[in-house]
Amino acid sequence: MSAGTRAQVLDSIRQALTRRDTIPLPEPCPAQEEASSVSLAECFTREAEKVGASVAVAADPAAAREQIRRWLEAHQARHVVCAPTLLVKRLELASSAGTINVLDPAMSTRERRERLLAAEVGISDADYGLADTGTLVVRATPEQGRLVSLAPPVHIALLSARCILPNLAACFRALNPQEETRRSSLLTFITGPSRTADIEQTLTVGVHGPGALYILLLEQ
Amino acid sequence: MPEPIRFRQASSATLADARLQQVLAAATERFNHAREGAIAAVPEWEQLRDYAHQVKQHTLANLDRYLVELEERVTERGGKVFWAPDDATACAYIIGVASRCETSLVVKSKSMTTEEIELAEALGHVGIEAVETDLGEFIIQLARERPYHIIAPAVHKTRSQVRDLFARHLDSDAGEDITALIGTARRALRRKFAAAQLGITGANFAVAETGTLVVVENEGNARLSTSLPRVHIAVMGIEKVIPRWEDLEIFLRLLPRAATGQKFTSYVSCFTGPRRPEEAEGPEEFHLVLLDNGRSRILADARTRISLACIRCGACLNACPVYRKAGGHSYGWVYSGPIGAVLNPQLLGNERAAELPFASSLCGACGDVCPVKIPLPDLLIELRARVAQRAAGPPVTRAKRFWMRLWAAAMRAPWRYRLATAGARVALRRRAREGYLSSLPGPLAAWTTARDFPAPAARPFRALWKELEK
Repeated sequence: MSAGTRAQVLDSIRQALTRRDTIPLPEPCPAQEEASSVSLAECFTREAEKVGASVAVAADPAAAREQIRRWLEAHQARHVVCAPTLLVKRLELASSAGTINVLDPAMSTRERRERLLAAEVGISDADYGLADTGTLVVRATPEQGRLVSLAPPVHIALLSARCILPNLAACFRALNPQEETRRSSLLTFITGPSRTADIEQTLTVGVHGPGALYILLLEQ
Repeated sequence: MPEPIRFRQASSATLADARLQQVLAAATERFNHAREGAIAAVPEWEQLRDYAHQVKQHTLANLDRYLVELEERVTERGGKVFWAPDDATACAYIIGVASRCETSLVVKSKSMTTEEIELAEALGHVGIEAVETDLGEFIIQLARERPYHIIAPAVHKTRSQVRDLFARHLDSDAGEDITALIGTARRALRRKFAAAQLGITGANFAVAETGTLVVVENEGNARLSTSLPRVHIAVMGIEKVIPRWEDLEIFLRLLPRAATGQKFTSYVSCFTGPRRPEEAEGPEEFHLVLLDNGRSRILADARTRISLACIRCGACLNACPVYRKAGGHSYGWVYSGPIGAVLNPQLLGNERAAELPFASSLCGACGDVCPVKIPLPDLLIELRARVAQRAAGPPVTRAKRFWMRLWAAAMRAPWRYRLATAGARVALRRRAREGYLSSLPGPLAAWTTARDFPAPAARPFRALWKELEK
């Protein structure tokens, strides 16, 4: 059935295009960047806060751990999960507090899901930040899957301040999409918490994804 | 042959509903305001629209090539591609995948294309529950209705209606607090996400060069639909493909701003194939369904091909004075507003949707706001002409011929035109009451069946202009 329908659809398209117009693809149209004295980190922070995220800066791992502890305390979180990612390891989050549960890559799929669905807070790495929209760019990697930034009601994202790029165009250039899409099945852009305005156009956060998003900018 | 769409009849019910009128005015006003604010901050907005228009024209003119490239890249990265000539074939394929998953539960994220093929109903007929997980879609699914607006499907529902629906179907009375209602939906749908073996999404864009499907959303339900179930199926119309990531970047600058006035939506997911073997989460199977369902027919039509450039942002609905009064359900099918008036007759056939191209004042607002510059007013005129050509019965009556001859005679020279309008001005002013005429004579009477006609000014613009020039 499959080969037949393929030929059928392609034939109808080709018949529709018997008279070919030659319309070239346009040259890329770069975003006009505002000449600004504001640093990328400041711009990122301002935009992320506009869409409801909270941003803090940590000068070193100790300050980062302290900031995370304060956020967890504010939510009285007891079930906190993270993946064994680069930044999680660098900050030594596993040993810092008893409440943070680092997912073991050898764990069964079922157990992993259950932990992620039961967690109150998920801590994830972000690969890039986009300054002009306050967006986090998160790749699915062998260490860090899809759910840690999604399933728990609170998401804490760790981002190296030097990974903040001006905009989406810069991000696509930095990523090399051909390579990236071979390696990883998913690239996610996160801008603020989960939101909806589907009931009486009233903006409400936390409908399916996290209702609270904290971003920790790491200076080192 | 299904019933023809009766726009006039359906819209008169909406016009008589004071609450709906209020909801429509407030919602469209809010969307318009947000959109205007967002694009005012983008100095290159017009350039972006031109760019997007050209990319769409180019892609449509080379659609076979880009779809084959998309298919190759998806397959290379571990996905399966199915080409569906029509709705029935698409649904049958998806039912087949669902049966192999041995699942009786499917989670769906918002997709106009799956609304178009009535996928949830088709799955329901074979005993598979398909749950809509976008909050607005979830609400209208419980109410058994069609989307009221392309991006706000339940915009016409009040919180108390939502409360009643949840109380009846979810057995939970959370009161009328919106946060509590949303909490109820979140809990109910989390159970579905965790149990479903199959997740179905649409696609806003598909990038041919890497085989990447892009889904734009705010709630996170599309992310959950593609993270927990074992299989992911994406259903897209064949016109959604774009060539390169550079193009995606432009479309991602246009779509959220035109739709909701956001700079970026909460989530944009770019899916390429199933999860890689070393990844711990995500679907083991990824299927892409490429749906024709009448699109190649539009593609073959040089005059209306550009209708396929639509990115479903809903801006033309909010801008349209007719949509703002008539509401989404008057258009009788999944697509509403000016783009619905253009797409529905082409996808369903002119016989069934003949009234729709006339559901417009041709004011041009839809064309002005379209982020990909679809000339919607021109398309509406073209489709009107086709309806008129095909209309049954005596094509032109004697009276009509007489009036048209008279009109042609008056328009043939400037002095004739001036003479005719001067005569009309005197006659119409004499009939006017308080500056308006409640009925016009002869064939013009049709115009005043539903509205008054303003009396002509005492002196024509021409005369005032002449004076000003002196």
